[in-house]
Amino acid sequence: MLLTGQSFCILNAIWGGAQVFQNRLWLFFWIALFLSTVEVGLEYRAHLRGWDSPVFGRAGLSDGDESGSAAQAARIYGPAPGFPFRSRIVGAEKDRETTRIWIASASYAQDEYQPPTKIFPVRLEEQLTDSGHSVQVLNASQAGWGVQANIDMLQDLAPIWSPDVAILYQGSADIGQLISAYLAAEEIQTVEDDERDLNDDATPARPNWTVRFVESTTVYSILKGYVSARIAKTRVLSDELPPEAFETLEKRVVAFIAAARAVGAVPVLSTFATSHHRKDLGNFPSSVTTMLFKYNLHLSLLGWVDTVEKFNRLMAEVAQEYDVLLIDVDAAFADAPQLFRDYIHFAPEGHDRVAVTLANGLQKAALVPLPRTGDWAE
Amino acid sequence: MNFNSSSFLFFFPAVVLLFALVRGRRVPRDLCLLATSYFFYMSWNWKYAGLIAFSTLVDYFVARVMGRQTNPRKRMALLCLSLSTNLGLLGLFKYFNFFARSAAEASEIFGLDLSAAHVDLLLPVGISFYTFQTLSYTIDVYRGAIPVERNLLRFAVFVSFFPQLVAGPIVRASEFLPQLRKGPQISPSRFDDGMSLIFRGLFKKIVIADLLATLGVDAVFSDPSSFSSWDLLFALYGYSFQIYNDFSGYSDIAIGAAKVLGYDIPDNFNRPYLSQNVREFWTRWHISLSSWLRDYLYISLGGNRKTAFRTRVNLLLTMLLGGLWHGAAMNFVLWGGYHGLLLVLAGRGTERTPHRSGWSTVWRRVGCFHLVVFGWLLFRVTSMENFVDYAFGLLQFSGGTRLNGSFYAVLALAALAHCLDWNRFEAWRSRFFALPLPLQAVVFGGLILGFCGATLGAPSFIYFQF
Repeated sequence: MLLTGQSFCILNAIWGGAQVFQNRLWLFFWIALFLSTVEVGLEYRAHLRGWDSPVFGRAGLSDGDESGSAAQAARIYGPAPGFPFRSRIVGAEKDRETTRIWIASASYAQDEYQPPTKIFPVRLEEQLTDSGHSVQVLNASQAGWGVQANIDMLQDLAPIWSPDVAILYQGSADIGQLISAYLAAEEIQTVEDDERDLNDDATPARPNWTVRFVESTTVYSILKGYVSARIAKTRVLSDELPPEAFETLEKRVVAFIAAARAVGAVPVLSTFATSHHRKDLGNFPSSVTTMLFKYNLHLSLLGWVDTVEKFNRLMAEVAQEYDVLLIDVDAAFADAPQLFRDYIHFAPEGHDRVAVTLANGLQKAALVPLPRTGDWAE
Repeated sequence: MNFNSSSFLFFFPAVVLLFALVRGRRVPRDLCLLATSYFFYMSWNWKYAGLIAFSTLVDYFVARVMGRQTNPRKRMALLCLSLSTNLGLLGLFKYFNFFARSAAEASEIFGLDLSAAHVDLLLPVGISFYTFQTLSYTIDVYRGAIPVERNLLRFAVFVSFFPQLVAGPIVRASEFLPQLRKGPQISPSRFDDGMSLIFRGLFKKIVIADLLATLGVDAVFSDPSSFSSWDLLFALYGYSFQIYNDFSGYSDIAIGAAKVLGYDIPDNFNRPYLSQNVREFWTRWHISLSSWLRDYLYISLGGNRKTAFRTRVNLLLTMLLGGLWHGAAMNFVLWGGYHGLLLVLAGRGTERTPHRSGWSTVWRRVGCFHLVVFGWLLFRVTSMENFVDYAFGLLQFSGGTRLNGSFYAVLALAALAHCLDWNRFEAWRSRFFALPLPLQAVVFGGLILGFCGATLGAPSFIYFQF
């Protein structure tokens, strides 16, 4: 009764408050209703097209397997409590004959838009196992992570999981951080901007709940793609990253090699694959350019192509200098844009090709134990 | 929390609804405004809320004691206490490093080696604004221009009122405290006025100011040597409209938000680029600051009550300090000095040249605009090298452009919007607000979506750094 009385008082007060504005406060309600309606409508459209959305949940994981395979996959594959990797769940202990491969990457390997059975770390394990090797792959990848975050995770968890090989597959995530640090910072109007902490970019501050809420909506994602990206394309864009950016990148890659060796793993570097290359300039599909300019306001298409080329050259130079195996994943994707679903993320067939390329590279370098029977290539 | 952030989209309606609940009772109403204002400020950095509280308490108690004092010397001592506390905090947080560095550089000229002391402090957002606001109160009490405010809660609301807390307009106690005593003047028409001002301000900020910055101005200023003279000139025009729309957009949102809550904040801009001379410009640009400087600094220095030479010196000093108010850097001091010089010259010119009309007016406006635009170059550069590069590039008279057509389109829109007299659209506005609320909501909702799409990155307001 007391609650009812209080509720009545509150409602009465709200009504009195609304009255003084002569019901103008309903405008807020109608605006909220309009925005919610637009969001729900767009989410439903996205849901029908196979994308996941906050209201309708996950929709896009059709792996072509039999019914119920997704649920089964969820039990077989991580992440799970005590197993923070998106790959087949294994125990921390392993026998001597088993080679444990650590994949340090970002959304390219984590790829929440594909079922775990389709992503290249899992496919790599299957490839090698099918060839008779005893391997376990730990997919230590997280969307948005750069090399520094990969190093942090390796240092934190490698003592428990004891990887034998640590493969670094990185690219656009670090390039994005370097753009923020070197191109965006130059444009910001500050009197004293000499204090530049790159580690801040590696672990950006968590935005507040309102920002997270708005950015999780479908309408926001669509506006970013259709409006913001088109505006960004018309900016004065840079055609290259400054040399200091690559010096920073080199330090990170060298730090990864050192971190891997420190935990007893053999580091392996890889080039970064993209759907389009320099010869494709002028013919980039709009979906690719939209994706590139959705969050990048500074580097032109030419700049991206140039940076990825320099990035891959840098990986090769570092690999040579530090006596590390380099697997040229990018070379396996020449003239194969159909293997990508955007500029940097793979379609299921693309994941397969990465897995095959990595498996070949590891076997040729004898970084995985010899097959139990026969030749791996049979 | 910025006005152009998603947080404000949730915060403001919540504050209005809460305020509607408590608007009828004085103490809950003031508590609501104080709590929401501190929440607004603390969402940026909670630690520096203590500074506002400290300034509030010092000025409240100084004024209370001053009100009981009749001895002029003691009153002056109390005023000095308030001035030294407020200006001391401002000096510590904003100017200490600048003066220490300048002193060290000056010592090098004389062959001395004084290493610059450095205080590692973050500049509290809005400190220049609320410091001037509280100072105006104690100075007015000292002058006997306003009565002492005895209610601490009300005084705290006056200092921290969230719409104008971080970037003005600088509200005088004589304008705002009576409104707080009387209570909010809420009405549907004021609500409509406020909402249209908020959306106009967001349009100015997001569609004009931020797009001008992101489509050209920032890139050109960051590396002037790689652009033609044409681009440098139009980027400078672009910055002139960017800073106007950024700051006047903020002021519009602040005035609009206050109006929805039932309070009036004075106008801060009146189409300044249509001024015919620099003196007129300063009656149309950042009006609350220029009138503050006039009333509390220029007049205190003697104003024009002494010789013509002294008047000019006072004018120069006032503008130099006005420039320094904007930031602890030499370019702001030079910008202030430049405007001071223009004001001195404009004062002499006005005495000789009678007002004309027609084409003469147009040319005077164009001339004044370009004088002001050149001043913005001093204001915007990040170093003297940057200024020299830019000015040198301008004088190359080279053609060609790297700026996209969209930049010129936004610039043209900015110029058109600046020339428009918005009051002429009053009939349209009334017709719009006569529409059913759901239809209005569709328009406002559409604008919010448009603003969201047009926002690239998370640009803050330029005047936040002052």
